[in-house]
Amino acid sequence: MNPHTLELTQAEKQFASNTIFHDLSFHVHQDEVLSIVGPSGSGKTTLLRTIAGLEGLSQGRIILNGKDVTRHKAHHRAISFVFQQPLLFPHMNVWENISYGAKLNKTHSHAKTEDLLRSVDLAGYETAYPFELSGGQKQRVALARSLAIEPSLLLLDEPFSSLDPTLRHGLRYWVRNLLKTKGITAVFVTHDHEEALLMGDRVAVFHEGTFQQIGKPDQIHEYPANPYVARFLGSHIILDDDRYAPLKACYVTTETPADSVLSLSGTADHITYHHGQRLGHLYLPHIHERIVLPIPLHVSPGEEIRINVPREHIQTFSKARYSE
Amino acid sequence: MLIGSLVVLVNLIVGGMTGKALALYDFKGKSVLETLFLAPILIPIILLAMGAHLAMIRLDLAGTWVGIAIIHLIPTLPYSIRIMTNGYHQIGRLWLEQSEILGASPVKKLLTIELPLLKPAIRSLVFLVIVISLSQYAITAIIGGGEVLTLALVFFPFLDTADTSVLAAFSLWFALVPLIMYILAETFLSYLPYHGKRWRKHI
Repeated sequence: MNPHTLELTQAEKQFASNTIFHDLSFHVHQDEVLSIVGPSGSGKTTLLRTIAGLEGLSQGRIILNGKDVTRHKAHHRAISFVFQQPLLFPHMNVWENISYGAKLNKTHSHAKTEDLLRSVDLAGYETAYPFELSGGQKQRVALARSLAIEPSLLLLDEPFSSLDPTLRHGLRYWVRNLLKTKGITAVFVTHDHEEALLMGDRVAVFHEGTFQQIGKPDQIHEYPANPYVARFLGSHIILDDDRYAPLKACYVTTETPADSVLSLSGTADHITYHHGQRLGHLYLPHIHERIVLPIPLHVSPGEEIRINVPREHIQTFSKARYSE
Repeated sequence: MLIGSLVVLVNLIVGGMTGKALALYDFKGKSVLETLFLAPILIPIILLAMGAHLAMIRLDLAGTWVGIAIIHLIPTLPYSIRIMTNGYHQIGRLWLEQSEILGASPVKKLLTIELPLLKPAIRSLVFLVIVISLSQYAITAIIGGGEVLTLALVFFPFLDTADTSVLAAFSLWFALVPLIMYILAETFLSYLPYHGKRWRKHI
């Protein structure tokens, strides 16, 4: 296992009497991408800002490459930050934007800027000003500018949120490949669980100021630690506070099934189509859950249905929040 | 010119720092402070000059050009603070944070991001301040006691003249001083890094 690039121990942040996060401890390995996913307003951005040094911690320590940087100012930390907006400096062209940080920390070279421009597919745009670029191009310049300072850690705060869905999807794969090709250690924050699973080597589900679970995407997906994680990922039916079943094992019928399955009654509220499948948006009044499952052709909106869960697929929550 | 330059310089520094604090930071009593900064232009300036005159005499500043420069801050600073507050509002906090993240020290941040992006505000400030400062007759006469001559004091005795050539000469002088200040300000701004190609800029 690679050594830790970033380590947070018992970190806490408060604004007046409002606790944003508390007792937060985690680490990021070298060359690893950690995705932090959680609902909007859960404090993910504040967490990144404290790591970057834009906000101070109320308690706890931040260790970067084995060095305690808790009290260091932002411009003294080897950390780069890509914000939600590209924030390109409007009075500088693309070349000047990319080389800005590198010139400040005296690592600038013509070849490096050229290489970065090629990496972000913007060769030929050196003299263009930010207002002449599209949203996706601006975000790629912002990424190149962050990489130009050769940071030990790159923080990305929902960098695709201001882009349209098509561009956003394309850019996800592209950024993931770039991070992996260049061996960059990164923390990626998003509110989209699909994006988190796609971008991260490990995924951390953040809610109520703490991590509900950290682990590899498959692990989190297969063995959610608690109902919140399962509900957030949307791939399970939560039967109660202790038990769940994967949606892939459930099926919808209109008749009462055999005793070997747990059958729950519900209604098909809406029908949509996705990935070539007919999907029913189902409401289960007994457990107050809404789920989405493939449904047979003859089921129409508003119809009573039964969701059948084979008993052998019913599992209990792992409760283990941290795993490598 | 010397008084005008000093007034402009102090306005840039005090107005810039106050404007930055008002635009980018939240603190208790901010709105009260904002109102207080505007107060000098809400109270008759003669009233303020009378009180300030006593203080100037005690401080040995009455009848000096430094005293006049200080008194000229009263009618100019409220405007400068307002202009710079708006300037910093337009820049916002994020660009400054981005430059900090990229390794800019406070001085580098000021020179490479703040001042270049504040150019329109600085131009407005320089023009407004020099024009207001040039036009002050009453407070200059009170504090200067007639010992320090400014353009307004020289011009005043000729107010009732019908001599068009005298009026034209004064008009030219009054236009020339702001123009010189503008050229000086532009020269200073042109030394800032990253001024790019003027015709392509949309800021």
